[in-house]
Amino acid sequence: MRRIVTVLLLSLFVLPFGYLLLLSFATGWRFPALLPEEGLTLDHWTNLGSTGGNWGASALTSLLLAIAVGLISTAAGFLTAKQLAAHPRRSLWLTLAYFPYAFSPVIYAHCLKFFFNVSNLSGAFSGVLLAQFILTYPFAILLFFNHFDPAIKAMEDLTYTLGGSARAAFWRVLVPISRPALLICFFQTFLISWFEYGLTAVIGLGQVRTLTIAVYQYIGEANHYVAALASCLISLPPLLLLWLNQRFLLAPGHGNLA
Amino acid sequence: MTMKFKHLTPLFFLTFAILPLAAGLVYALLYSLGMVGALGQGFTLQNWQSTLSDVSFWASFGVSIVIAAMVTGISTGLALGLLLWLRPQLEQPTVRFLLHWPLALPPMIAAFFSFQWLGSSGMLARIALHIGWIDRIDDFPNLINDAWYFGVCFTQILLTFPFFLLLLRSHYYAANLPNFAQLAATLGASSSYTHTRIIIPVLLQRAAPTLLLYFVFLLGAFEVPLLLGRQSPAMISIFINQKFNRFNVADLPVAYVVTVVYSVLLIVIISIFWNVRKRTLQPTLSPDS
Repeated sequence: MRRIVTVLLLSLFVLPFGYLLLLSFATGWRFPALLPEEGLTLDHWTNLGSTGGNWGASALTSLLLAIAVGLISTAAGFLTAKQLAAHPRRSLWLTLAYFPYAFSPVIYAHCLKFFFNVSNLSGAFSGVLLAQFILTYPFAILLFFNHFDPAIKAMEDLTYTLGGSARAAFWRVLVPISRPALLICFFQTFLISWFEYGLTAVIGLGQVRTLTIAVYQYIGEANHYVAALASCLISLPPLLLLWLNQRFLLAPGHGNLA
Repeated sequence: MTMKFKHLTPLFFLTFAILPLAAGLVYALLYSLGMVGALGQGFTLQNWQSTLSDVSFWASFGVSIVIAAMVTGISTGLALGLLLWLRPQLEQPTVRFLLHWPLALPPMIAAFFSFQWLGSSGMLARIALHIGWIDRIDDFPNLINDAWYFGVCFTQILLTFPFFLLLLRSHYYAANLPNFAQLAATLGASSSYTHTRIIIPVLLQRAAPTLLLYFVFLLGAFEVPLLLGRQSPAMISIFINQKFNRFNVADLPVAYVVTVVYSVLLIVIISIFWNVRKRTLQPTLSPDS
C-alpha cells in the first residue's frame, strides 16, 4: 500500500512536466481526445516562435535578466550581510530585511510604480532589473546572515593575525570558504528572477517580455502549445540545478543547492 | 574592508532594501488621504470611509485569509501524515530526488497545468467522458474559476505540501527525533502516543516560523488566483491589481487604501513571526535549512 501511494505521489509530481512536454509537441489536441490527434511535431520548438509568439527573444530576455539579478544580488547581499551580521544592531537589520521579502511582489510593484514612472524606468529592461534587484537583495541578505557566524569571523581575524591584508582576507579566505553559500544564493536569486511574473508585468508594462509574461500572453491567446513550450523552458533551469545538486553536490564535503 | 565601507553598508541596505518599500508605502498612505496624486485635493478620510464600508474589500481579505490558512493547514497535515507514514520510502535517493521536482514548478506554470487538467474541456473531463462518468462536457463540474476556489486551493497545495514535506523531513533529523522515538518505544510508549506527544509537537514548533511566513506568501499569491480564481470576490493581490489597472481613476485611491491595510496586516504578521522565531531559536532561512 505504501509503495503504491509513493508511486502515485511521485507520478503526480512528474505529471506536470511530462504533460507540458507532450503538449509542446502537439498540434491538434482538442476535446475529447486523450492523446494528440494529429501526431507530434517539432515545429513549435524549431521555429523559435517566429510564426507567432517569438519565445526565443523572451527566453533570451529572461536569461539575461536572471543572470544579472543573480550576480548583482549575490554580490551585494554577501557584502551587506557580512557587515550587518557583525553590526551591534544586527537583530534590527534582520527584522527589517524580512519586510520587503515577505511583501507580495505585485503589490510591491504597484507601490514602486510611481517612482519608476517619474524616473522613466517603467517599461525598460533596466527598470525591471532594478525592481527585481530591490526584491531579491533582502532575500540574499537573509540567506547570508546566518552564514557569517563566529567561526567565519575567527577565520578572518586569524588572517589578520598572520599578517594578511583586508584584500587577502576577503579574496583568499572569505570568498573560497563561502563558495557553496555564494552558489546557493546565486541560483536562488536567479530562480526568483526567472520565475517572477507580477512585478515584471507591472514595472515592465508588458514591454519587457520575459518567458513568464509570454506564457500568460499565450494562454490569453489560447496558444496552448507554445505556452506549454515556454513552460518547459521555464522549468528547465531548476530541473537542471536539481540534477546537478543530486549528481555532484550531494557528495560529502559539498554544499546542497536544494 | 575600510571603515568608510563599513559605514556605507547600512546606508546601501537602507537605500535599496528599506527605502523603496517605505517610500512606496508613504506615497500610498498620502494618496489614500488625498494629499498627493492627480485626484488629491487636500486631506480627506473619504477614501478610507468608502473603502472600509465596501463589502468587496472585506470579502477579498476574508477569502485570501481563509485560502492561505486552509492551504497552509492542509499542506502541513498532508506533509506530516506522509512523513510519518512513508518515512522508509522517503529515504530512497530516487524518491528524495523526485520530491524536489514540484519546487521547479513556478506558480504560473502550475496554474497553467491545473487550467489544462481541471477545466471543463481539460484532461480530467476527457477521462471522465471516456470512462462514462459524464455524457456531455456540461456535466463536468467547474473546478477552475469556481465559487469554492477549488482550482486555486488544489494548485497551491500541489506547490506547497512537497516543500513542507522536505522541510519537516529535515527538521525530523535535525531534532534527532528517530532517537527520541526509539527511546519512547523503549519506555513503553505506543506508536500513536510517540507521534502525537513527541514527533508532531516538536516538528510543528520547529517549523512554525516557516509555516507562518508561507502563510504570508500565500496571502499575497498572484499568479495562481489570476488564472484559476474568481474576479469577485478576488484574492487580495488580484483585487489591488484590478483597482490599479482599471480605466476609472477614481479606483486608484481605493487601491492605495487596500495596499496600506495589507501592509499593516503584514507588519503585524511579521512581528508575530519574529516573536515565534525568537522563541523557537531556529534559523529558517539559512542555506543549510
